[in-house]
Amino acid sequence: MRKQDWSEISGRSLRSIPAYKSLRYAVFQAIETGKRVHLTLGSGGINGLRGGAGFAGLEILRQVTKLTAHSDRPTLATSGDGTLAVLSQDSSHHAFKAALNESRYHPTMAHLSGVYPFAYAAGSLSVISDEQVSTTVLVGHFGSEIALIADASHGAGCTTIAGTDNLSAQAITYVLTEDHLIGEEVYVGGAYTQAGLMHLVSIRAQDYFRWIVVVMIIIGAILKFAGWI
Amino acid sequence: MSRRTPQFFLIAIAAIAGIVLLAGYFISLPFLDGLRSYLFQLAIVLTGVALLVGIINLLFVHVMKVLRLQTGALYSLVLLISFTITFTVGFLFGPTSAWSRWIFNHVQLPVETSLLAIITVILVVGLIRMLYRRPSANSLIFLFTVVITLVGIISLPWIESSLITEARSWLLSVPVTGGMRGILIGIAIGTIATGLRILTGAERPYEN
Repeated sequence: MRKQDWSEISGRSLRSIPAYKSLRYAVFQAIETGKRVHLTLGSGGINGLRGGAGFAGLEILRQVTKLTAHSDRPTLATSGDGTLAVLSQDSSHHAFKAALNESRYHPTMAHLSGVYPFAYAAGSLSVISDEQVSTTVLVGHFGSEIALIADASHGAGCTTIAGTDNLSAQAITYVLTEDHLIGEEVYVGGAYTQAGLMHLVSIRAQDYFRWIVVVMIIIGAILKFAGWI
Repeated sequence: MSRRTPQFFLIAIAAIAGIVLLAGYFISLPFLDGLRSYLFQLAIVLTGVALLVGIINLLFVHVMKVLRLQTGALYSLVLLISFTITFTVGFLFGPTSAWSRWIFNHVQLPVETSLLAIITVILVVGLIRMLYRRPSANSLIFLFTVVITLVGIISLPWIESSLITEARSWLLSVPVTGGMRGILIGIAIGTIATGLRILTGAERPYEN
């Protein structure tokens, strides 16, 4: 099976991101083999700048849960923050509803695995080892604890896909995972998992903003070089 | 009342709260400041309640694991016993008492330090694995940067350190800082876009 991402299927012209291609492939493989997708949302919560990555993870959780709602083992979500845990339950519940399989939903399918970063990582490790997981998706705010989860996932033979807003953690995921999301790639999960037209529009807006920043940096560099600022 | 009405109210509440908090950064009005402060307090209370709900949920997951004798039930039992002891000590003697500090200093701190040490080993093994499985130019650049950065901060008697220190300093101040800024700009734009999607109700993690 050739690896495709959802954007190719929807016919939208989006830049190909290998990690999202792998995500789609891994989700369908999990469904076919009767195994589970484990999505973990980090311990950053939803307040402040860290919240953006958490929300991006929740959107991916919703789409992946919707796809696996009828499978033998639906997606399991863990998080290291109370608000994220409550929202992940809500997202999971909504995904089961949207997949017309609400009776299958159980609140334990999305839970808090620990309050402190390392306790959270330790809690997530037990999910990887005990729940017949074939794919681990890490999207949210993580610190160095991401190394423990990514390594355990690799050790269990799982496909590991990771994306975070923390630069140190991004360096760790670059080393430990083959499918990683760098920088703004974390925030476009909705568009790449067919969450809706608004997400595609959002990507366009992000691209325009990026070009504006590039032009501003070039103008600033020229002005500095010319000694005008 | 149609089925869409509660959803409309949820979106309206989220959007208004978001706009009020955002406006508070740009406009200073007594009424707006008061409302902003009230919303912040409400958010703190809700975060506390969410944490409590999360902990109850966590305990429920592990109690069910123990009762059903699932794989890893023993670890769940250890977690439940540890939680009961820590909660009882904190509840009876207070979170800053000598007993609570003993638990922190003799259990939590050593465990976290050990995990940090394990991470070092994991990263070294991961780096070797990366070079073996992905022997690309990017991987080599990554390895080169790591080696120069590490060697540049330690003093080795048999290596001329000034050249390496200068190379490290150049690496950190030019390509590394440039790359970091590029990634951070991307993250900032992504965060703004996510915030706007939530403010406009296009993304609703609070749907049910």
